[in-house]
Amino acid sequence: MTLTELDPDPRPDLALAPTGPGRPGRRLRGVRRRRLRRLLVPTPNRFILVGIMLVLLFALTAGVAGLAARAAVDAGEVMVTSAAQMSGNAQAMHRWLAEADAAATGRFLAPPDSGQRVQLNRNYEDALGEVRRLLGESAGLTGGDPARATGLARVANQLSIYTELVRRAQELGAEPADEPFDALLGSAYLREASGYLRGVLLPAAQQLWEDETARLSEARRDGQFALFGSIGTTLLTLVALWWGQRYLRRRTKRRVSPGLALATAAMLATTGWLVVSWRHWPQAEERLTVAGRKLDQHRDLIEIQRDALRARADVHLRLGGNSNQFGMVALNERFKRDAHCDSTVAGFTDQMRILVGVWCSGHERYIVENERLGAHPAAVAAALPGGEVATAFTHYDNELTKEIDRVDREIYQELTNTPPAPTSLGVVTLLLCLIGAAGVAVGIGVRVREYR
Amino acid sequence: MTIYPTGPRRATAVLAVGLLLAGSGCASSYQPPPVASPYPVGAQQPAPTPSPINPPDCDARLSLRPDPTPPSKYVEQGYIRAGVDQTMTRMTFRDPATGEFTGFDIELLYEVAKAMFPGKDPKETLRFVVVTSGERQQRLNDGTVDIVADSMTATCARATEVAFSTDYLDSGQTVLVRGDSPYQGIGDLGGKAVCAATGTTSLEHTRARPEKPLPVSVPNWTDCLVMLQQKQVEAISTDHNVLLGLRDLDPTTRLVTQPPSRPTGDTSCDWHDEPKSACTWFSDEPHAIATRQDDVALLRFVNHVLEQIRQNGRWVQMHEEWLPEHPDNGPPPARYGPNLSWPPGM
Repeated sequence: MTLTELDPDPRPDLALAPTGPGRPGRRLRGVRRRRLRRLLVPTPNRFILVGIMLVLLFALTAGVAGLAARAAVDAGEVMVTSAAQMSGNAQAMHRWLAEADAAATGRFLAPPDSGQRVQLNRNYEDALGEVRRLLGESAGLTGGDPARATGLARVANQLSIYTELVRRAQELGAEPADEPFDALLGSAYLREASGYLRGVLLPAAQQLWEDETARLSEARRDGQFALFGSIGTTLLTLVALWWGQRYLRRRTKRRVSPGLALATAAMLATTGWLVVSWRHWPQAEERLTVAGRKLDQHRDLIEIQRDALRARADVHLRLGGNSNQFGMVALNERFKRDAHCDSTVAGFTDQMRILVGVWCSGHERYIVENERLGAHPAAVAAALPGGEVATAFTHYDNELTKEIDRVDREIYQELTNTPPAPTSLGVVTLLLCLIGAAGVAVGIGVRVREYR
Repeated sequence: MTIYPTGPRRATAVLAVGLLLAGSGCASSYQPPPVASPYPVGAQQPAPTPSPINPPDCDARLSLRPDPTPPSKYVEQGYIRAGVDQTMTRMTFRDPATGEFTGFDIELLYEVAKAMFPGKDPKETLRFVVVTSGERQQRLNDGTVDIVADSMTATCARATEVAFSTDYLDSGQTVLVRGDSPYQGIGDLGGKAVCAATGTTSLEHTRARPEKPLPVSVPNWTDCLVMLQQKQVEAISTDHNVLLGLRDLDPTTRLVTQPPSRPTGDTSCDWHDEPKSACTWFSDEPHAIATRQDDVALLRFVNHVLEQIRQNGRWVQMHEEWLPEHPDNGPPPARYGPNLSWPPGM
């Protein structure tokens, strides 16, 4: 078939036009522009350019779909649930570490011949056992992510330093009646252990928790970006295909290019597949939004509990012969602040307010006042298991734990209701885009050959 | 005795993380995270430099004349509150065996209580309140405690805030090192980390040394010993009597034997029982009991009690019990007279 039309009037060769005076750089740019324009003047070259542009758009669509597939998986049930489990484990780890601290300091405080030492030893061992179990369980949830694994390894290594310090303190303080000087030095090691736990180990565990909760927030945000990004590129490619088909028709006696038609069909199929794949998103987004709100509530409660455990361990350290850099008034102020005696922070329920009030007034009455009056043994008795202050704390802590567990269950429920992520979004889209790109190549190639 | 067998389980947790990393194919890119070393809470290295103050010129050993009349305020109240440390072995500490406070300073306080409340058990009339070195003056002035006996050095700077009794023990600053260390004196510690408790004169004396050791401050004296054992500092430097107590806690440590370089006219060894050639002290540390400046009746009564125990042999007895190897010259003579800065009305 012979082509009879098209581009009958070649334009004047601007490259050969005389150039005016000017700087060499400007002249060189002018020469390049003219060469490019001359390159695009022949119609086959323009067809090729259109083809390249369409193939690039297909590649972009496939790339965005690949990223969207990853985001969809992240926002899907399996990934979200593992992040929720990891964050739950990190929170529990933090709680058990604080419990170990309180037990270790309390054990040192308890009289050697009292049964309280046995109980506190058991509490310490149980707390450490829980932390190790949670570390092992979390290691199975890292999904090969080096950042997650590094965080866990950091906690594991720091835990060994902490337990070594506690072991040294307990060795020295084992026989205070026979070796009182060793016991004095032991209390200094215990204080260092407690400081290490609070200053290094607990923040590392908290970082694990924050990383995982941040992961959940990112899953929602990335899901939104991926959804809009994949739809946007698909629509852009469809518009470009329509424009390309129209351009070729104008230049080729109004004949439709079968190759481009195939590419358009592939693109429509891609759009359909994306819609099918993202059908879970509205539900996933709702679940993630609700879980996000509950995570904030969860975070508030956990902060309250961590502060309360810190306040309790501080009391043990102070009573156990460990002065620190804070003076007496400052220590009492710290207790009130950490225990949240005013219960004004977010997260307090009515029952929690009542119980924290009992704990704080007990602390003031049985510990601060007794210490002020020099009645140290009475203050120690109130702080140890079975004492007035310890009992008040246990009631408050139980209520806090109950509330945290309730919110935890709700979060887990929301996240386990997240629909499963599509499994073949990226692969199918890539195949369809390859077909579309092939259609473009064939369609444009045929037209170029016909034109020549 | 191992109380908490932690080893195997700890290893399991670390191993689990490591194995999972290896199994997940990340082992090649995985780097073990750096782990922070433990330090005592509140340790500061280098110790912060206090804001410069210009204390008035005074003789810190001077105090009010004694008065045998017990202060009516405390007699009516039935007890007195004493600010003490609970970790300063030999001077003032809580005995872990009994839970009771004991030491040279505590014995002094019992003597005051016995004289103030004759016929009563001093354990009933003396109430101990734990204070740190950094808060002693503040706790006196806010009324939390009535008296402080805490191996406290009487200085002109402190005398602007509280009143001091007559000197009850003369000591001087020296150095404690690990038994296996090569240091023989403060002269060997130039550029080395040397520990002392926050809020003490020891830090300033260390900082002022010409050898320029690096002062490290901690809240408690026992924290210094922990840092020495962990090799985070090379020495502890404070009053000789305090260092004897720390050596009790770790008998592998030793006091240095080489005398320091001294400026002309140095009086650090005036109260030492050996010649300067054998004296390692490089500061003069007159120990005194502190009260509020307006509590003149209590201060005079304390001076009366101190006078009595100097004369009746009780001081020597206490010294023999708690500080037998402390090289002081015996009971410091009481000195009474006007002082430029305290107490008011003098």
